[in-house]
Amino acid sequence: MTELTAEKKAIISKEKKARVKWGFIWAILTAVMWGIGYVPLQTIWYIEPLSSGYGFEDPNTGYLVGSYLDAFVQAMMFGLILTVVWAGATGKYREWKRVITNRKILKWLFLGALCGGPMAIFGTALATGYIGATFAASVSLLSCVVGALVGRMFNHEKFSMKAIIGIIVIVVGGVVILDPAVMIEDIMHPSGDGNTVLGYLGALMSVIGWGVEGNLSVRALNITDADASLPVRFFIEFVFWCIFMLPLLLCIVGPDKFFDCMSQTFTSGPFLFWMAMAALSLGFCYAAQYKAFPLIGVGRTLSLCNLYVPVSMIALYVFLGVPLSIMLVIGSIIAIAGTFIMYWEKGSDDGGA
Amino acid sequence: MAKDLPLKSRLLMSFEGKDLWDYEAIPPILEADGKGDSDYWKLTARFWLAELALNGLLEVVDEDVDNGMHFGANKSMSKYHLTEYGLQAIDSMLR
Repeated sequence: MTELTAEKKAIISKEKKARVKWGFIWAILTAVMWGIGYVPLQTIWYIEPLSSGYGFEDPNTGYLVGSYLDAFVQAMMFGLILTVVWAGATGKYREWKRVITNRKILKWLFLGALCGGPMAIFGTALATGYIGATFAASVSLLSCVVGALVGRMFNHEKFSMKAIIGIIVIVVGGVVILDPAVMIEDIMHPSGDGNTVLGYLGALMSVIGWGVEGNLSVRALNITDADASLPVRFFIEFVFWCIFMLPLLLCIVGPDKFFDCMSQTFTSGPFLFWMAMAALSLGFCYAAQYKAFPLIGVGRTLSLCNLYVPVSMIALYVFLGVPLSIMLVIGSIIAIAGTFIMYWEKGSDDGGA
Repeated sequence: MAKDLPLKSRLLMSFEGKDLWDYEAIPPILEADGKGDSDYWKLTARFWLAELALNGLLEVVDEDVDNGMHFGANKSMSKYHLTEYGLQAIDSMLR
């Protein structure tokens, strides 16, 4: 071991503190951009073609197809914008090519993308469309619990007492968010024009999808640059939508309606604009979160990033006038407290780096 | 090297069988890719090492301060050791 003088120790300590400061900046930026990202996701439901349910006679079919195409366009925008803007701006095109051409690395990103995309993002689109963006944002907090349980099952990660208490608190928060009395009433007596059962199903898909995705993608992200591998993850999700999910929709609704829906999607300027805004804000979050991880540690980053929920509630209230539900607010506060109990490391100031 | 692996993966593999300081591990990887003179890529590679250590693939075994010979005067430097988990990641993902 190198003998460090007091002067050298002071220099190392100062540099670590600077890293911690930047880690907090990245994590707070993630929370803010993530929360604001729910505004464009909600806005698209107020404009054509989603507002009219793609012209389907049955509004439920229209909402369902709308959620499906919403998730597809998200994958497309995220994949293209993150690849062109983020990987390009950070000079990582060659790294992007190296990631996408390496079969063993790509396998884990693809499996993660399946859980994160067609499952979680489609689920979030359903939850947003059928129930609302504040609910969709809040209920996603439960993915921490699924992630921890999956990590324990497949990676044999051990739970500390702190983690167990945190999980219990998050679950209590989740119960308040879901508001069981209202949920049971919605499921037993679904209203005619907006089938909330599909919204709850979407919420379940998003919670499981994101919880599992983290455990799969992390294997590839550990050994690659996130500026390259995250754009690859979204790009292959887009490719999967093109070669599997869209043909599936074509078979379900028939060629005439399918091409009509695609035409409505890609000729709506406002829709594409707001989806691009969502991709810029939410896509940036993914990249920013990975900047914060080594600077302040995974636990503190995840805890701080979960502050996206109150940010989304405030942003949706300010920009779109979405009323705040007291149950969502209370449930989110409890669940966020749970994530802090679960993840927050004891107050060292040295970060991970 | 047969496969065109990502630079971060190659950096991790350079620790197989030996502990290295960051200033020993980074230059060969960047120079082989034509990025040896870039301060941006040196900073990026140091960030990768920090990530690898945070995720448990490497562990820091020593620290010192740069006298200006490597990354700049008064920058901290670290010496890393490949962990068992890091070796598993190399065996399962990079070979």
